[in-house]
Amino acid sequence: MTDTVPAIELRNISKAYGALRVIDDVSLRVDKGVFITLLGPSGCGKSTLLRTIVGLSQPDSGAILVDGQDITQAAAHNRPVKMVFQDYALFPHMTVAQNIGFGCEMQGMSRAATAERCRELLELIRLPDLGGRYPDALSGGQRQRIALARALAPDPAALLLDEPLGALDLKLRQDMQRELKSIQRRTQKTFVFVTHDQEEAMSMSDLVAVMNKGRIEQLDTPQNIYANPVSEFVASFVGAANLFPARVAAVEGGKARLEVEGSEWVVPTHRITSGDGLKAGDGATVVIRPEALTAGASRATNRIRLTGKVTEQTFFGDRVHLHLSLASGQSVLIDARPQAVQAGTEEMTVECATEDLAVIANG
Amino acid sequence: MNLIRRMALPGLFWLFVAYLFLPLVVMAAMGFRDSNFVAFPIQSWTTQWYRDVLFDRDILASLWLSAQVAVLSTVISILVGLPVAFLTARTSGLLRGALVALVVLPAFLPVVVSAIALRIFIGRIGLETGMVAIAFGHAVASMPFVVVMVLTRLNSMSLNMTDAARNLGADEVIVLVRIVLPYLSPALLGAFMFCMLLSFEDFVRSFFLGGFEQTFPVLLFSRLRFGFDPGLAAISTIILIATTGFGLYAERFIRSRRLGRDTSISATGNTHD
Repeated sequence: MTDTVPAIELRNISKAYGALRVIDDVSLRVDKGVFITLLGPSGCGKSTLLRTIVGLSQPDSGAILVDGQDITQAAAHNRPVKMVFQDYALFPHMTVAQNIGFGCEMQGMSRAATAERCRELLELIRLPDLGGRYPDALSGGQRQRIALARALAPDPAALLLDEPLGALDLKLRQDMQRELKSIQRRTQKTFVFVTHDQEEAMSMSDLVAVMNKGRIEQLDTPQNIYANPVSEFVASFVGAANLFPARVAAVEGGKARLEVEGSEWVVPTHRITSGDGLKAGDGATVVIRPEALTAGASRATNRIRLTGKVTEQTFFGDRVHLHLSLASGQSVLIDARPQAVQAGTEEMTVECATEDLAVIANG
Repeated sequence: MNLIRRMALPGLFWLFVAYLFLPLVVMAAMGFRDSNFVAFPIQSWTTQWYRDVLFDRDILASLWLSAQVAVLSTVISILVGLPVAFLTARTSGLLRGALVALVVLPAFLPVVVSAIALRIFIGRIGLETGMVAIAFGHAVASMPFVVVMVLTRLNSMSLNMTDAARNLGADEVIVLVRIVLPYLSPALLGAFMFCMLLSFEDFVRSFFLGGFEQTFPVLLFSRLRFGFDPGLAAISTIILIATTGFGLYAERFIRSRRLGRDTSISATGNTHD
């Protein structure tokens, strides 16, 4: 695909309900064929942003472009982006085939062409025999796929999905995640997926936009978001994180010397993931993932070490979670392999490679 | 003692049934009495009364008027009630409570009071007594039921459904015609049948607003003043059977449509593939 016009482009979108800024100056480019997820807690503005793109909610300011066309002022029924709703919103008085064909019919497609398109989509979602059924005669997972097919039928410029798996139980949810991803790959459609479930976001997406309080805090690949969070919010919302308040003592020769937990940690400056770098005297936060901490004190350099009392042990089969209480009173979560932990351990030293931690500038 | 205890409740139940239906049975039987007077015992039987009724021009004319009034008033109350229900559905909280109370209030007014008020009112706006005036009065009386029935159905409708339709390219009119009205159809059907029955059986408003035009209940009443002959019993029986049949059919029809959906939802709740 050599086309460089993004499927969706948002320019400085803002929306407020009274004093509450639901969407706060959001800009975003989504390239064609990309699976992007808007991830954030409920109330962060992700669903409102989606509704704004399809025209069911009007932004106070900003512009929305689809395939390079400004559609900010277009009526909802004239927009080329289609949406899958959380409760599926299937039409109960229409058969599955009529539901799927509705969008095509509205576009003025002929009866024969609509029927053909319907058959194609039922094939795509692997429910070829359900065309004549009514939605209430279907299971939750089937309804979910019908809703997907209905939104895909009019060949939209992009497909927007508003927490579409939220109503399904865990097992079905995981099946549907794979199914959705596979449908996205086969159709080469641009998917904008909204969820508050970070595992769902990580496992399905090419790109993740982490949202908080109406803003996009970080937009990156799932790997980078996990490894290089740019804010405390991103670090703790995506996966588990141990956060240590720190003060910068000095920055020199590609190394930053930080005062953390009463000792000095020397960290390479490329592990500073936010801001324009740090200087002496700045406050910062060090992020360490629970699985980056390993038991024992090796002689290797480029390691930081923590010693504390084990206050809690939780066994998960392949993993064990330890809670370590440091001298400062801070609690640290360690995710380890069970073999690495001796039974009855009370005091413990753990270490982390300085390459595996991230430093976030405060403020 | 034991026997009494076991029989007391069923006995009471059957006594109640008799109390409800015995008068109707007696009435139906009277229609077959070969005499000009209603009295017991019935010594000889005839189907003459039933046959006469079917060729009584006045009765047929009043039935025709009642039918016209029923249809017209039902159409008016649905045409007015539907938008009122839509409007009310968009509100919430106190405003909604106030609106619903306002809409439902006429249903609780004493019928005589509302009939007199309507009689004065139509005089003021220059509307003649007669068919249209009766229909107008009946529409006022049945509109609250239309609003409540439609509102109940609207409350169960996912707002996302209309959003989804718009997203798929339907403008406001198509959303109304293709999505909202079909979704409301069970409620509309119920409201339709209910309004028809309500209008057909109304006496007080028809009496005050009809002038010289007599709906069926008004005609029955005026005949009563000349004495009660078995012909009245016969026609009443025919109407009883017709309206009961209509009511039962309506009830079954609506229930089968609604329950048909609801049960299939719960039955297939979480089965996958």
